[in-house]
Amino acid sequence: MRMFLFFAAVSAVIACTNLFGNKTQPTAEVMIEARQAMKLEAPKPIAVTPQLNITSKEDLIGYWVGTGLSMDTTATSADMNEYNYEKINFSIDSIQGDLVFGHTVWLGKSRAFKGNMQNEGGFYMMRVNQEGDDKWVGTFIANIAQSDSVMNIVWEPQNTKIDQSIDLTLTKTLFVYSPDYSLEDGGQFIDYQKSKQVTETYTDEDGQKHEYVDDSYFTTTDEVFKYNPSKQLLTKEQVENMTKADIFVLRNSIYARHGFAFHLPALRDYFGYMGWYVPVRTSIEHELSDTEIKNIELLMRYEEHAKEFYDVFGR
Amino acid sequence: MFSDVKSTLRDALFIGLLMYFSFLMLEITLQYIPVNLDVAFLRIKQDVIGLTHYQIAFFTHVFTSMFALLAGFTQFSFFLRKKYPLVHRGIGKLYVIVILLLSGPSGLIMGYYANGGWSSQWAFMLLAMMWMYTTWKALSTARSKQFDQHRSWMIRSYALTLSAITLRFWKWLIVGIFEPAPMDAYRIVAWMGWIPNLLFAEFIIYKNKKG
Repeated sequence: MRMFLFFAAVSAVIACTNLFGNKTQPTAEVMIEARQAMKLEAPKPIAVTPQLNITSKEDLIGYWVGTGLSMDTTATSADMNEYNYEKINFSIDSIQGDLVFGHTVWLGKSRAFKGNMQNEGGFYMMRVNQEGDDKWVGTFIANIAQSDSVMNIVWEPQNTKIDQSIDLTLTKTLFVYSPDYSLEDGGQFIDYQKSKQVTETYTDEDGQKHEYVDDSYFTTTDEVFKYNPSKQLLTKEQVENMTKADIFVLRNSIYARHGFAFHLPALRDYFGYMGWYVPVRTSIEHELSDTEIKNIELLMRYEEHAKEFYDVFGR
Repeated sequence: MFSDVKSTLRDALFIGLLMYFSFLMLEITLQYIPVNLDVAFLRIKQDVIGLTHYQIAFFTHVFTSMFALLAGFTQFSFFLRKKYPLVHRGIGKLYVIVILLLSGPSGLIMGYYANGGWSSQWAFMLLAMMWMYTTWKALSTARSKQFDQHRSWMIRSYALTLSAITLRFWKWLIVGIFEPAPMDAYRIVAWMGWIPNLLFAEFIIYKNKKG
Protein backbone atom coordinates (compact mmCIF):
# COMPACT_ATOMS: atom_id res chain seq x y z
CA MET A 1 0.00 0.00 0.00
CA ARG A 2 2.64 2.48 1.07
CA MET A 3 4.83 1.34 -1.76
CA PHE A 4 2.06 2.11 -4.16
CA LEU A 5 1.31 5.56 -2.79
CA PHE A 6 5.01 6.29 -2.92
CA PHE A 7 5.17 5.17 -6.54
CA ALA A 8 2.10 7.20 -7.46
CA ALA A 9 3.55 10.30 -5.81
CA VAL A 10 6.93 9.84 -7.47
CA SER A 11 5.45 9.30 -10.91
CA ALA A 12 3.19 12.30 -10.47
CA VAL A 13 6.17 14.46 -9.53
CA ILE A 14 8.25 13.16 -12.44
CA ALA A 15 5.33 13.76 -14.75
CA CYS A 16 4.77 17.31 -13.62
CA THR A 17 8.41 18.39 -13.61
CA ASN A 18 9.22 17.07 -17.05
CA LEU A 19 6.01 18.06 -18.66
CA PHE A 20 6.08 21.75 -18.70
CA GLY A 21 9.33 22.11 -20.51
CA ASN A 22 8.69 22.18 -24.24
CA LYS A 23 10.26 19.02 -25.53
CA THR A 24 8.24 18.73 -28.70
CA GLN A 25 9.66 18.38 -32.20
CA PRO A 26 10.21 21.44 -34.40
CA THR A 27 6.82 22.95 -35.01
CA ALA A 28 5.43 24.43 -38.19
CA GLU A 29 6.22 27.91 -36.82
CA VAL A 30 9.87 27.04 -36.40
CA MET A 31 10.01 25.66 -39.93
CA ILE A 32 8.35 28.74 -41.38
CA GLU A 33 10.86 31.00 -39.64
CA ALA A 34 13.76 28.89 -40.79
CA ARG A 35 12.50 28.97 -44.34
CA GLN A 36 12.08 32.73 -44.32
CA ALA A 37 15.66 33.06 -43.20
CA MET A 38 16.78 30.92 -46.12
CA LYS A 39 14.58 32.48 -48.73
CA LEU A 40 17.47 34.38 -50.27
CA GLU A 41 19.11 31.13 -51.27
CA ALA A 42 16.15 29.78 -53.19
CA PRO A 43 17.24 28.56 -56.63
CA LYS A 44 16.67 30.96 -59.47
CA PRO A 45 14.40 29.81 -62.26
CA ILE A 46 16.08 29.10 -65.54
CA ALA A 47 15.61 31.74 -68.20
CA VAL A 48 13.33 30.37 -70.86
CA THR A 49 11.54 31.91 -73.75
CA PRO A 50 7.82 31.28 -73.69
CA GLN A 51 8.13 30.20 -77.31
CA LEU A 52 6.87 26.62 -77.64
CA ASN A 53 7.57 26.40 -81.36
CA ILE A 54 11.28 26.44 -81.96
CA THR A 55 12.30 29.40 -84.05
CA SER A 56 15.84 29.79 -82.79
CA LYS A 57 18.47 27.90 -80.81
CA GLU A 58 17.58 29.87 -77.66
CA ASP A 59 14.01 28.60 -77.78
CA LEU A 60 15.34 25.13 -77.03
CA ILE A 61 16.19 26.20 -73.49
CA GLY A 62 13.61 24.97 -70.99
CA TYR A 63 11.86 21.86 -69.74
CA TRP A 64 11.12 19.16 -72.30
CA VAL A 65 8.58 16.83 -70.78
CA GLY A 66 6.98 13.56 -71.74
CA THR A 67 5.97 10.18 -70.36
CA GLY A 68 7.43 6.78 -70.92
CA LEU A 69 7.29 3.35 -69.39
CA SER A 70 8.50 2.86 -65.88
CA MET A 71 12.17 2.01 -65.86
CA ASP A 72 12.68 1.96 -62.15
CA THR A 73 15.68 0.20 -60.78
CA THR A 74 13.56 -1.61 -58.23
CA ALA A 75 10.72 -2.42 -60.60
CA THR A 76 10.07 -5.99 -61.61
CA SER A 77 8.75 -6.80 -65.07
CA ALA A 78 5.24 -6.93 -63.61
CA ASP A 79 5.51 -3.37 -62.33
CA MET A 80 6.56 -2.11 -65.73
CA ASN A 81 3.11 -2.96 -66.98
CA GLU A 82 1.39 -1.32 -64.04
CA TYR A 83 3.11 2.05 -64.24
CA ASN A 84 2.76 3.80 -67.58
CA TYR A 85 3.10 7.44 -66.66
CA GLU A 86 6.73 7.78 -65.77
CA LYS A 87 7.41 11.43 -66.57
CA ILE A 88 10.77 12.63 -67.71
CA ASN A 89 11.95 16.21 -67.62
CA PHE A 90 14.77 16.75 -70.11
CA SER A 91 15.88 20.23 -69.15
CA ILE A 92 18.14 22.20 -71.48
CA ASP A 93 19.71 24.81 -69.22
CA SER A 94 22.12 26.65 -71.51
CA ILE A 95 23.56 26.57 -75.00
CA GLN A 96 27.03 27.95 -75.64
CA GLY A 97 27.92 27.75 -79.29
CA ASP A 98 27.69 24.08 -80.16
CA LEU A 99 27.73 22.97 -76.55
CA VAL A 100 24.54 22.01 -74.72
CA PHE A 101 24.26 21.87 -70.91
CA GLY A 102 21.33 20.60 -68.96
CA HIS A 103 19.96 18.00 -66.60
CA THR A 104 17.31 15.34 -66.51
CA VAL A 105 14.82 14.82 -63.70
CA TRP A 106 13.81 11.23 -64.17
CA LEU A 107 13.10 8.20 -61.99
CA GLY A 108 13.28 10.37 -58.89
CA LYS A 109 16.79 11.64 -59.63
CA SER A 110 18.34 14.76 -61.07
CA ARG A 111 21.35 14.17 -63.36
CA ALA A 112 23.44 16.69 -65.25
CA PHE A 113 24.22 16.15 -68.92
CA LYS A 114 26.32 17.86 -71.55
CA GLY A 115 27.01 17.35 -75.23
CA ASN A 116 26.99 18.84 -78.69
CA MET A 117 24.38 20.19 -81.02
CA GLN A 118 24.20 21.06 -84.67
CA ASN A 119 21.68 22.56 -87.02
CA GLU A 120 21.43 20.58 -90.24
CA GLY A 121 18.81 20.60 -92.93
CA GLY A 122 16.25 22.43 -90.81
CA PHE A 123 16.80 20.10 -87.84
CA TYR A 124 18.39 20.75 -84.49
CA MET A 125 20.26 17.62 -83.50
CA MET A 126 21.77 16.93 -80.11
CA ARG A 127 23.83 14.22 -78.62
CA VAL A 128 24.33 14.52 -74.84
CA ASN A 129 25.76 12.26 -72.16
CA GLN A 130 24.43 11.99 -68.64
CA GLU A 131 27.00 12.30 -65.87
CA GLY A 132 27.48 9.61 -63.28
CA ASP A 133 28.25 5.94 -63.44
CA ASP A 134 25.25 4.00 -62.21
CA LYS A 135 23.10 1.66 -64.19
CA TRP A 136 20.61 4.21 -65.46
CA VAL A 137 23.09 6.64 -66.98
CA GLY A 138 23.04 6.92 -70.73
CA THR A 139 23.11 9.01 -73.88
CA PHE A 140 20.27 11.03 -75.34
CA ILE A 141 20.08 11.56 -79.07
CA ALA A 142 17.54 14.26 -79.76
CA ASN A 143 16.19 16.00 -82.81
CA ILE A 144 13.57 18.60 -83.47
CA ALA A 145 12.62 20.32 -86.71
CA GLN A 146 12.86 24.07 -86.89
CA SER A 147 9.46 25.66 -86.14
CA ASP A 148 8.22 22.35 -84.70
CA SER A 149 7.23 21.88 -81.03
CA VAL A 150 7.90 18.17 -80.54
CA MET A 151 11.32 16.75 -79.74
CA ASN A 152 12.07 13.13 -80.51
CA ILE A 153 14.65 11.49 -78.31
CA VAL A 154 16.25 8.11 -78.11
CA TRP A 155 17.88 7.20 -74.83
CA GLU A 156 20.60 4.60 -74.97
CA PRO A 157 22.00 3.07 -71.81
CA GLN A 158 25.73 3.10 -71.21
CA ASN A 159 25.34 -0.11 -69.29
CA THR A 160 25.57 -2.93 -71.78
CA LYS A 161 23.47 -5.21 -69.59
CA ILE A 162 20.39 -3.18 -70.42
CA ASP A 163 19.65 -4.17 -73.98
CA GLN A 164 16.84 -1.72 -74.51
CA SER A 165 16.80 1.87 -75.65
CA ILE A 166 13.85 4.13 -74.93
CA ASP A 167 12.03 6.35 -77.42
CA LEU A 168 10.62 9.52 -75.97
CA THR A 169 8.42 12.24 -77.40
CA LEU A 170 8.80 15.47 -75.47
CA THR A 171 7.16 18.86 -75.62
CA LYS A 172 8.41 22.09 -74.14
CA THR A 173 6.63 22.88 -70.92
CA LEU A 174 6.60 26.11 -68.94
CA PHE A 175 6.21 24.81 -65.42
CA VAL A 176 5.14 27.15 -62.66
CA TYR A 177 3.91 26.22 -59.22
CA SER A 178 0.24 26.75 -58.60
CA PRO A 179 -1.77 25.85 -55.49
CA ASP A 180 -4.76 25.30 -57.77
CA TYR A 181 -3.48 22.13 -59.38
CA SER A 182 -6.11 19.50 -58.67
CA LEU A 183 -6.02 15.79 -57.99
CA GLU A 184 -9.21 15.48 -60.00
CA ASP A 185 -7.05 15.56 -63.10
CA GLY A 186 -5.80 12.15 -62.07
CA GLY A 187 -7.06 8.68 -61.51
CA GLN A 188 -6.87 6.61 -58.35
CA PHE A 189 -3.64 6.17 -56.47
CA ILE A 190 -2.64 2.51 -56.34
CA ASP A 191 0.61 1.19 -54.94
CA TYR A 192 1.06 -2.19 -56.59
CA GLN A 193 4.00 -2.97 -54.37
CA LYS A 194 1.91 -2.71 -51.22
CA SER A 195 -0.75 -5.34 -51.18
CA LYS A 196 -2.29 -8.01 -49.05
CA GLN A 197 -4.48 -10.96 -49.82
CA VAL A 198 -8.18 -10.66 -49.15
CA THR A 199 -10.90 -13.21 -49.58
CA GLU A 200 -13.84 -11.99 -51.65
CA THR A 201 -17.14 -13.79 -52.08
CA TYR A 202 -19.59 -13.62 -54.94
CA THR A 203 -22.87 -15.34 -55.76
CA ASP A 204 -23.25 -16.88 -59.21
CA GLU A 205 -26.43 -17.24 -61.32
CA ASP A 206 -27.41 -20.43 -59.53
CA GLY A 207 -27.31 -18.65 -56.20
CA GLN A 208 -24.16 -20.49 -55.18
CA LYS A 209 -21.61 -18.64 -53.16
CA HIS A 210 -17.99 -18.72 -54.22
CA GLU A 211 -14.90 -17.49 -52.53
CA TYR A 212 -11.75 -16.32 -54.20
CA VAL A 213 -8.55 -14.72 -53.04
CA ASP A 214 -7.60 -11.38 -54.49
CA ASP A 215 -4.94 -8.77 -53.94
CA SER A 216 -6.01 -5.67 -52.07
CA TYR A 217 -3.74 -2.71 -52.79
CA PHE A 218 -2.83 0.41 -50.86
CA THR A 219 -5.19 2.86 -52.53
CA THR A 220 -7.07 6.12 -52.03
CA THR A 221 -10.76 6.93 -51.64
CA ASP A 222 -12.74 9.86 -53.10
CA GLU A 223 -12.05 11.72 -49.87
CA VAL A 224 -8.83 13.12 -51.40
CA PHE A 225 -10.84 15.21 -53.86
CA LYS A 226 -12.52 17.14 -51.06
CA TYR A 227 -9.43 18.93 -49.85
CA ASN A 228 -6.55 20.91 -51.28
CA PRO A 229 -3.82 21.21 -48.65
CA SER A 230 -1.97 23.79 -50.77
CA LYS A 231 -4.93 26.19 -50.53
CA GLN A 232 -6.82 25.60 -47.31
CA LEU A 233 -5.60 25.01 -43.80
CA LEU A 234 -6.80 21.54 -42.83
CA THR A 235 -8.35 20.94 -39.42
CA LYS A 236 -7.81 18.08 -37.02
CA GLU A 237 -11.44 17.02 -37.55
CA GLN A 238 -10.91 16.74 -41.30
CA VAL A 239 -7.74 14.70 -41.06
CA GLU A 240 -8.48 12.38 -38.14
CA ASN A 241 -10.97 10.23 -40.03
CA MET A 242 -8.95 9.89 -43.24
CA THR A 243 -7.40 6.59 -44.29
CA LYS A 244 -3.65 6.16 -44.33
CA ALA A 245 -3.53 6.23 -48.14
CA ASP A 246 -5.63 9.39 -48.37
CA ILE A 247 -3.42 11.22 -45.90
CA PHE A 248 -0.34 9.98 -47.72
CA VAL A 249 -1.54 11.17 -51.12
CA LEU A 250 -2.80 14.52 -49.86
CA ARG A 251 0.56 15.21 -48.26
CA ASN A 252 2.42 14.23 -51.41
CA SER A 253 0.08 16.33 -53.56
CA ILE A 254 1.69 19.37 -51.92
CA TYR A 255 5.13 18.23 -53.07
CA ALA A 256 3.79 17.35 -56.52
CA ARG A 257 2.47 20.87 -57.10
CA HIS A 258 6.01 22.12 -56.56
CA GLY A 259 7.37 19.63 -59.06
CA PHE A 260 9.01 17.24 -56.64
CA ALA A 261 10.67 14.20 -58.21
CA PHE A 262 9.28 11.30 -56.19
CA HIS A 263 11.31 8.26 -55.21
CA LEU A 264 8.27 6.00 -55.02
CA PRO A 265 7.28 4.63 -58.46
CA ALA A 266 3.59 4.56 -57.50
CA LEU A 267 3.65 8.30 -56.75
CA ARG A 268 5.51 9.14 -59.97
CA ASP A 269 2.93 7.19 -61.92
CA TYR A 270 -0.02 8.72 -60.07
CA PHE A 271 1.08 12.32 -60.50
CA GLY A 272 2.69 11.64 -63.87
CA TYR A 273 -0.77 11.02 -65.26
CA MET A 274 -1.82 14.56 -64.33
CA GLY A 275 -1.16 17.14 -67.00
CA TRP A 276 0.12 19.79 -64.62
CA TYR A 277 2.76 17.65 -62.95
CA VAL A 278 6.35 18.04 -64.03
CA PRO A 279 9.26 16.54 -62.11
CA VAL A 280 11.42 19.60 -61.58
CA ARG A 281 13.38 19.30 -58.36
CA THR A 282 14.55 16.77 -55.82
CA SER A 283 14.23 19.13 -52.87
CA ILE A 284 11.30 21.45 -52.20
CA GLU A 285 11.55 22.45 -48.53
CA HIS A 286 12.31 26.06 -49.39
CA GLU A 287 9.41 26.35 -51.81
CA LEU A 288 6.56 25.52 -49.45
CA SER A 289 3.95 28.09 -48.42
CA ASP A 290 3.02 28.65 -44.78
CA THR A 291 -0.29 26.83 -45.29
CA GLU A 292 1.50 23.89 -46.83
CA ILE A 293 4.05 23.62 -44.03
CA LYS A 294 1.31 23.61 -41.41
CA ASN A 295 -0.72 21.04 -43.32
CA ILE A 296 2.29 18.79 -43.84
CA GLU A 297 2.93 18.82 -40.11
CA LEU A 298 -0.70 17.92 -39.35
CA LEU A 299 -0.95 15.25 -42.05
CA MET A 300 2.38 13.72 -41.04
CA ARG A 301 1.21 13.49 -37.44
CA TYR A 302 -1.85 11.45 -38.40
CA GLU A 303 -0.02 9.47 -41.04
CA GLU A 304 2.57 8.29 -38.56
CA HIS A 305 -0.05 7.64 -35.95
CA ALA A 306 -2.04 5.55 -38.43
CA LYS A 307 1.09 3.67 -39.48
CA GLU A 308 1.97 2.80 -35.90
CA PHE A 309 -1.41 2.25 -34.35
CA TYR A 310 -4.24 1.81 -36.86
CA ASP A 311 -4.27 -1.99 -36.98
CA VAL A 312 -2.63 -2.97 -33.72
CA PHE A 313 -3.79 -3.58 -30.16
CA GLY A 314 -2.78 -0.56 -28.21
CA ARG A 315 -1.76 3.07 -28.21
CA MET B 1 -16.04 -33.49 -9.89
CA PHE B 2 -16.38 -32.79 -13.58
CA SER B 3 -17.70 -29.30 -13.00
CA ASP B 4 -14.70 -28.66 -10.74
CA VAL B 5 -12.31 -29.48 -13.53
CA LYS B 6 -14.32 -27.31 -15.86
CA SER B 7 -14.27 -24.32 -13.56
CA THR B 8 -10.57 -24.75 -12.84
CA LEU B 9 -9.85 -24.78 -16.55
CA ARG B 10 -12.05 -21.74 -17.02
CA ASP B 11 -10.24 -19.87 -14.24
CA ALA B 12 -6.87 -20.83 -15.67
CA LEU B 13 -7.93 -19.58 -19.08
CA PHE B 14 -9.15 -16.31 -17.59
CA ILE B 15 -5.91 -15.78 -15.65
CA GLY B 16 -3.85 -16.68 -18.72
CA LEU B 17 -5.67 -14.23 -20.96
CA LEU B 18 -5.54 -11.58 -18.27
CA MET B 19 -1.79 -12.04 -17.92
CA TYR B 20 -1.28 -11.79 -21.63
CA PHE B 21 -3.37 -8.66 -22.07
CA SER B 22 -2.01 -7.07 -18.89
CA PHE B 23 1.42 -7.47 -20.38
CA LEU B 24 0.26 -5.70 -23.55
CA MET B 25 -1.20 -2.93 -21.40
CA LEU B 26 2.10 -2.61 -19.57
CA GLU B 27 3.84 -2.15 -22.90
CA ILE B 28 1.37 0.58 -23.81
CA THR B 29 2.05 2.28 -20.47
CA LEU B 30 5.80 2.09 -20.95
CA GLN B 31 5.58 4.07 -24.20
CA TYR B 32 5.12 7.15 -22.05
CA ILE B 33 8.28 6.64 -19.99
CA PRO B 34 10.24 8.86 -20.07
CA VAL B 35 7.42 11.37 -20.16
CA ASN B 36 7.12 12.73 -23.67
CA LEU B 37 4.37 14.90 -25.06
CA ASP B 38 4.81 13.83 -28.65
CA VAL B 39 4.42 10.06 -28.71
CA ALA B 40 1.68 7.55 -29.40
CA PHE B 41 -1.78 8.76 -28.39
CA LEU B 42 -0.52 12.21 -27.44
CA ARG B 43 0.63 12.82 -31.00
CA ILE B 44 -3.00 13.25 -32.00
CA LYS B 45 -3.97 15.21 -28.87
CA GLN B 46 -1.87 18.27 -29.68
CA ASP B 47 -4.86 20.61 -29.45
CA VAL B 48 -5.39 19.86 -25.75
CA ILE B 49 -1.96 18.69 -24.63
CA GLY B 50 -1.07 22.29 -23.75
CA LEU B 51 -3.69 22.23 -20.97
CA THR B 52 -2.04 21.53 -17.63
CA HIS B 53 -5.06 19.74 -16.22
CA TYR B 54 -5.19 17.49 -19.27
CA GLN B 55 -1.53 16.58 -18.84
CA ILE B 56 -2.05 15.76 -15.17
CA ALA B 57 -5.18 13.73 -15.97
CA PHE B 58 -3.50 11.89 -18.82
CA PHE B 59 -0.38 10.82 -16.97
CA THR B 60 -2.32 9.98 -13.80
CA HIS B 61 -4.53 7.76 -15.91
CA VAL B 62 -1.68 6.12 -17.79
CA PHE B 63 0.49 5.41 -14.78
CA THR B 64 -2.16 4.29 -12.28
CA SER B 65 -4.70 2.33 -14.35
CA MET B 66 -2.42 -0.70 -14.57
CA PHE B 67 -2.90 -1.28 -10.84
CA ALA B 68 -6.65 -1.67 -11.21
CA LEU B 69 -6.11 -4.63 -13.54
CA LEU B 70 -4.14 -6.42 -10.81
CA ALA B 71 -7.31 -7.02 -8.83
CA GLY B 72 -8.42 -9.61 -11.37
CA PHE B 73 -5.57 -11.93 -10.43
CA THR B 74 -6.46 -12.17 -6.77
CA GLN B 75 -9.83 -10.76 -5.81
CA PHE B 76 -12.12 -13.38 -7.30
CA SER B 77 -10.21 -16.24 -5.69
CA PHE B 78 -12.24 -18.05 -3.05
CA PHE B 79 -9.09 -19.58 -1.62
CA LEU B 80 -7.35 -16.27 -1.10
CA ARG B 81 -10.41 -14.66 0.42
CA LYS B 82 -10.73 -17.40 3.01
CA LYS B 83 -7.09 -18.08 3.71
CA TYR B 84 -5.59 -14.62 3.44
CA PRO B 85 -8.40 -12.10 3.95
CA LEU B 86 -5.84 -9.36 4.59
CA VAL B 87 -4.40 -9.76 1.11
CA HIS B 88 -7.90 -9.52 -0.31
CA ARG B 89 -8.55 -6.37 1.66
CA GLY B 90 -5.20 -4.79 0.86
CA ILE B 91 -5.47 -5.25 -2.86
CA GLY B 92 -9.12 -4.24 -2.65
CA LYS B 93 -8.16 -0.94 -1.05
CA LEU B 94 -5.54 -0.34 -3.70
CA TYR B 95 -8.17 -1.02 -6.37
CA VAL B 96 -10.69 1.36 -4.83
CA ILE B 97 -8.16 4.16 -4.29
CA VAL B 98 -6.87 3.86 -7.85
CA ILE B 99 -10.34 4.06 -9.35
CA LEU B 100 -12.06 6.55 -7.08
CA LEU B 101 -9.20 8.97 -6.59
CA LEU B 102 -6.85 8.58 -9.55
CA SER B 103 -7.78 6.64 -12.65
CA GLY B 104 -11.53 7.29 -12.56
CA PRO B 105 -11.56 11.07 -12.21
CA SER B 106 -8.67 11.42 -14.68
CA GLY B 107 -10.58 9.20 -17.11
CA LEU B 108 -13.57 11.50 -16.77
CA ILE B 109 -11.45 14.54 -17.63
CA MET B 110 -9.90 12.75 -20.60
CA GLY B 111 -13.35 11.64 -21.74
CA TYR B 112 -14.45 15.26 -21.86
CA TYR B 113 -11.64 15.93 -24.35
CA ALA B 114 -12.03 12.63 -26.25
CA ASN B 115 -11.36 12.48 -29.98
CA GLY B 116 -14.28 11.79 -32.27
CA GLY B 117 -16.88 14.34 -31.12
CA TRP B 118 -19.84 14.19 -28.77
CA SER B 119 -20.57 10.49 -29.24
CA SER B 120 -17.22 9.24 -28.04
CA GLN B 121 -17.00 12.02 -25.45
CA TRP B 122 -20.25 10.78 -23.91
CA ALA B 123 -19.17 7.17 -24.16
CA PHE B 124 -15.94 7.76 -22.25
CA MET B 125 -17.46 10.11 -19.68
CA LEU B 126 -20.30 7.68 -18.97
CA LEU B 127 -17.79 4.86 -18.69
CA ALA B 128 -15.72 6.81 -16.16
CA MET B 129 -18.79 7.68 -14.10
CA MET B 130 -20.15 4.13 -14.13
CA TRP B 131 -16.71 2.83 -13.23
CA MET B 132 -16.51 5.06 -10.17
CA TYR B 133 -20.13 4.43 -9.22
CA THR B 134 -19.91 0.62 -9.37
CA THR B 135 -16.62 0.71 -7.46
CA TRP B 136 -18.10 3.00 -4.83
CA LYS B 137 -21.11 0.69 -4.43
CA ALA B 138 -18.80 -2.30 -4.12
CA LEU B 139 -16.84 -0.54 -1.39
CA SER B 140 -19.87 0.58 0.60
CA THR B 141 -21.56 -2.83 0.42
CA ALA B 142 -18.37 -4.46 1.67
CA ARG B 143 -18.17 -2.05 4.57
CA SER B 144 -21.74 -2.80 5.56
CA LYS B 145 -20.97 -6.51 5.21
CA GLN B 146 -23.47 -7.14 2.41
CA PHE B 147 -21.06 -9.49 0.72
CA ASP B 148 -23.45 -10.87 -1.91
CA GLN B 149 -24.06 -7.32 -3.09
CA HIS B 150 -20.37 -6.54 -2.80
CA ARG B 151 -19.61 -9.43 -5.09
CA SER B 152 -22.12 -8.30 -7.71
CA TRP B 153 -20.87 -4.71 -7.71
CA MET B 154 -17.26 -5.79 -7.95
CA ILE B 155 -18.09 -7.97 -10.95
CA ARG B 156 -19.64 -4.92 -12.60
CA SER B 157 -16.75 -2.70 -11.62
CA TYR B 158 -14.11 -5.11 -12.85
CA ALA B 159 -16.03 -5.68 -16.09
CA LEU B 160 -15.63 -1.95 -16.68
CA THR B 161 -11.97 -2.10 -15.69
CA LEU B 162 -11.51 -4.70 -18.42
CA SER B 163 -12.87 -2.23 -20.98
CA ALA B 164 -9.24 -1.05 -21.26
CA ILE B 165 -8.55 -4.41 -22.87
CA THR B 166 -11.84 -5.08 -24.67
CA LEU B 167 -11.87 -1.64 -26.28
CA ARG B 168 -8.46 -2.22 -27.81
CA PHE B 169 -9.35 -5.76 -28.75
CA TRP B 170 -12.52 -4.67 -30.59
CA LYS B 171 -10.57 -1.98 -32.37
CA TRP B 172 -7.99 -4.50 -33.53
CA LEU B 173 -10.72 -6.90 -34.67
CA ILE B 174 -12.92 -4.31 -36.42
CA VAL B 175 -9.97 -2.75 -38.22
CA GLY B 176 -8.72 -6.18 -39.22
CA ILE B 177 -12.03 -7.17 -40.76
CA PHE B 178 -13.71 -4.00 -42.02
CA GLU B 179 -10.86 -1.46 -42.31
CA PRO B 180 -13.09 1.49 -41.40
CA ALA B 181 -11.87 5.08 -41.38
CA PRO B 182 -9.84 5.48 -38.18
CA MET B 183 -12.16 7.85 -36.35
CA ASP B 184 -15.25 5.80 -37.26
CA ALA B 185 -13.57 2.81 -35.65
CA TYR B 186 -12.84 4.89 -32.59
CA ARG B 187 -16.45 6.09 -32.25
CA ILE B 188 -17.67 2.49 -32.46
CA VAL B 189 -15.27 1.05 -29.89
CA ALA B 190 -15.87 3.95 -27.51
CA TRP B 191 -19.25 2.26 -26.88
CA MET B 192 -18.44 -1.30 -27.77
CA GLY B 193 -15.50 -1.33 -25.37
CA TRP B 194 -17.71 -1.42 -22.29
CA ILE B 195 -21.44 -1.97 -22.95
CA PRO B 196 -21.05 -5.69 -23.79
CA ASN B 197 -18.81 -6.01 -20.73
CA LEU B 198 -21.60 -4.71 -18.50
CA LEU B 199 -24.11 -7.06 -20.10
CA PHE B 200 -21.73 -9.95 -19.59
CA ALA B 201 -21.28 -8.92 -15.95
CA GLU B 202 -25.07 -9.03 -15.46
CA PHE B 203 -25.08 -12.49 -17.01
CA ILE B 204 -22.45 -13.72 -14.56
CA ILE B 205 -24.27 -12.17 -11.62
CA TYR B 206 -27.51 -13.82 -12.78
CA LYS B 207 -25.80 -17.19 -13.10
CA ASN B 208 -24.16 -16.85 -9.70
CA LYS B 209 -27.51 -16.15 -8.11
CA LYS B 210 -29.07 -19.14 -9.81
CA GLY B 211 -26.20 -21.47 -8.99
